[in-house]
Amino acid sequence: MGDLQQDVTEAELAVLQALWDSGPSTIRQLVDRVYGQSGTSVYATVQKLLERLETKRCVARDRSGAVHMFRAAVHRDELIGRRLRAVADSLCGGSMTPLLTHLVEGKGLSAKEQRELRALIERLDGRKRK
Amino acid sequence: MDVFLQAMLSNAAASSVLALLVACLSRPLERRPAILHGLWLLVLIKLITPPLYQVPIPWPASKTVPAADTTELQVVTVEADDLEVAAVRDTTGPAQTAGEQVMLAPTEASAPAARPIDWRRWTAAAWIIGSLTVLLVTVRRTVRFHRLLRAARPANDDEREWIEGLAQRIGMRRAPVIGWVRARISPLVWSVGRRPLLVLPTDLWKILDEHKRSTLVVHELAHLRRGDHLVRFLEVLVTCLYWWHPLLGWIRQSLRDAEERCCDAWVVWAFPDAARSYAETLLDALDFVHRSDPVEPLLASGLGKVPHLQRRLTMIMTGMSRRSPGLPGRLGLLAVAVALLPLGATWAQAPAEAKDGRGEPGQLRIESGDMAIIARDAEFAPDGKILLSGNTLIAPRDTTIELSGPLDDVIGKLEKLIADLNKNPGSSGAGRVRVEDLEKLRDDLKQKKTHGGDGHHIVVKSMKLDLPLTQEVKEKARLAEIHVRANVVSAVDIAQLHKAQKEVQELRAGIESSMKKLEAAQARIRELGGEPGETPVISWTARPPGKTVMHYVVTRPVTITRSSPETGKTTTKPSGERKAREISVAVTAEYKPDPEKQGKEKQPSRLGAAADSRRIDQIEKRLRELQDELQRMKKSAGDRSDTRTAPGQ
Repeated sequence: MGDLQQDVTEAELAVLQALWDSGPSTIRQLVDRVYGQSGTSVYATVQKLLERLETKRCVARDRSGAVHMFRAAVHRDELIGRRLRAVADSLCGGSMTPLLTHLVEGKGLSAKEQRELRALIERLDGRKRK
Repeated sequence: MDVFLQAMLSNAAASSVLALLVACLSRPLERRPAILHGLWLLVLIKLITPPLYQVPIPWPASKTVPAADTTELQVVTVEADDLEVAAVRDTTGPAQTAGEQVMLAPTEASAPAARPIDWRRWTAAAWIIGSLTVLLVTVRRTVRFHRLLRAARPANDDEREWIEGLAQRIGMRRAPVIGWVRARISPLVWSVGRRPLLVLPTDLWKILDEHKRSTLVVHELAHLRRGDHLVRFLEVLVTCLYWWHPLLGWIRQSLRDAEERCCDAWVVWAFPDAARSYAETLLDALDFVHRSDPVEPLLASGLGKVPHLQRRLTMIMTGMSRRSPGLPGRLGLLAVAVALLPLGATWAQAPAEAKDGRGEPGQLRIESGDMAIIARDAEFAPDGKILLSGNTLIAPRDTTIELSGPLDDVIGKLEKLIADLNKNPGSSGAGRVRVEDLEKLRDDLKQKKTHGGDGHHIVVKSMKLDLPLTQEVKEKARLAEIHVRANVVSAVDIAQLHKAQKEVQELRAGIESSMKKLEAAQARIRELGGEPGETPVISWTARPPGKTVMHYVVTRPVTITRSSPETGKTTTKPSGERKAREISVAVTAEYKPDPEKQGKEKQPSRLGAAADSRRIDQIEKRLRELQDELQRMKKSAGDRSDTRTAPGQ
């Protein structure tokens, strides 16, 4: 997880989407799928996007054949989940764009704090039962 | 703009005070989170409703910087007591001062023409830019999140049935749609789409048992049931408007805390036996969301959050908080709302000074207690100097008195004005000074009249008080400016100028025809052997018409710039050292020479038009004498011989 810190852009996501949908592909196939047309300019664009995804380790390149094959190196749910989390964090309470209500807000708890709070619940529960 | 700025700043101040009051109530109302929530909501609403009280905002004193833009006139205030007639100059003299424009340049100390930095305008601009930025970021993030949620897996029939059951349990008619996501996020309600979406993380579900799942879902449903998702939009609106408000973050956080407590109370109410599972679920969810997070430094970890969580868990476990405000609570909240939120708008309480013409651009106003002198056709020269041209005005304050016309009339009007002021000198001794000024002006005018002789036809241009510079006046000033450049002198009325030129031409034609007759008569006399006498020499002045003969600069130190249209030179000299208080009264004399002849005549004299008419009288008198003499000579000659030649033919 830690090595995938950079977020993918919308355009990169479209390329990934194509890879998820139809498995390993060549650049030319991806150009057709993403843009529905072919041409040197879109070809170059997709090539650039793939390079960037590769450095972000979202895409793997197979150099064994005459034409390079690309495949998604990240799971769809994992990537979308991470993006969801990032945007959700930016939309919740402390931010300037408060559009979400989180059940629990704020930073995570340390193990010690977890233990203390669970002990508190235990204590209160015990008191109630008496 | 000012009204809104004022109102919003007042609101910010009022809401801060309210927030502190509500914060004091948060402990006593700990078991009544719904009431507390209502109060926090009121604090938020207060920010976007018209203010009850206008809080005076101490704007920083306007600094003055040189006026960069000449299209707008600034208000110039001059105290009457500082007025004195500092210079009375006669510019009838050498022709090179003809067409002189007097420019009054403010000295640095007073800088009345300087443009103040408009703090309000800059504040408003920064405010709006900030608001738009926050709005833009919000919209972008919202759209992105919404798009990502398309990947959410919809619920199957079992799940749908289950959630509808829970919704009915807390009295909801319509359950939200479920969307399963594989993300480490807290369960949440997303209400941006057509129908609210209950976003649930699949992975969290796997670690929760049936009971815990139900409590979590009821918590989220309670948010919907209470309408908290609508409060989010209010929150966004307020955040956009008051992004700079230092207490807003805290107010919002308090509001959300109260919301969570309310929903907790709903869960405990719906599942009285599941308090413990629910409390544990909160910790489970927190753990789930943050499990993969990089380890925070110990101090940063949940700083201030743990005591808050402790209280929240305690309230859940003891089950003592009430989920709704109850009838008394509702009535109390309503009363507070009525007291705090005015239904009648107070926007109308616009600052009173806005109505007072003071401070409005496009108006040059020079105050002087009961008297004011105003340059009606004042114009700001590109270098920030004030150009006073023509139509210089004097008037008692709040009255319109026009002094115009021939010098005699003006002196008469001045006498009357002085008499009026003497009768009613005003509340302070300041009035005396001004009367003295007027008396001095009157005496100067009288002196001018005797000095210049009857031959001068002196016209004083008119004056008025508090005249906003209308488009018409501006246009006139513009024309006057062109006039000056064309070397035809100050801002006289153009129609009047043309009329004067025509008169000059007629007069000149008359004189010339008289001269011809005279010359013919003299020739005839000479022919008859008589003595024709002296022939008058006529020469024309090269002075442009309508020249300013006097300029009264009622002033304390100002820089006087003279620009001579003939030489094209501009000379500037500062006068005096005290703070500048300047006022100009222009007295304009109109001569009537032929402008076409300007500069062509070899022997220029400075005869005025009236002097010319006097000369015509002389010439005509002389002509009559010559004709009489001619008749006499003819008679005596006729006695001697029968000459039939008619005289003068």
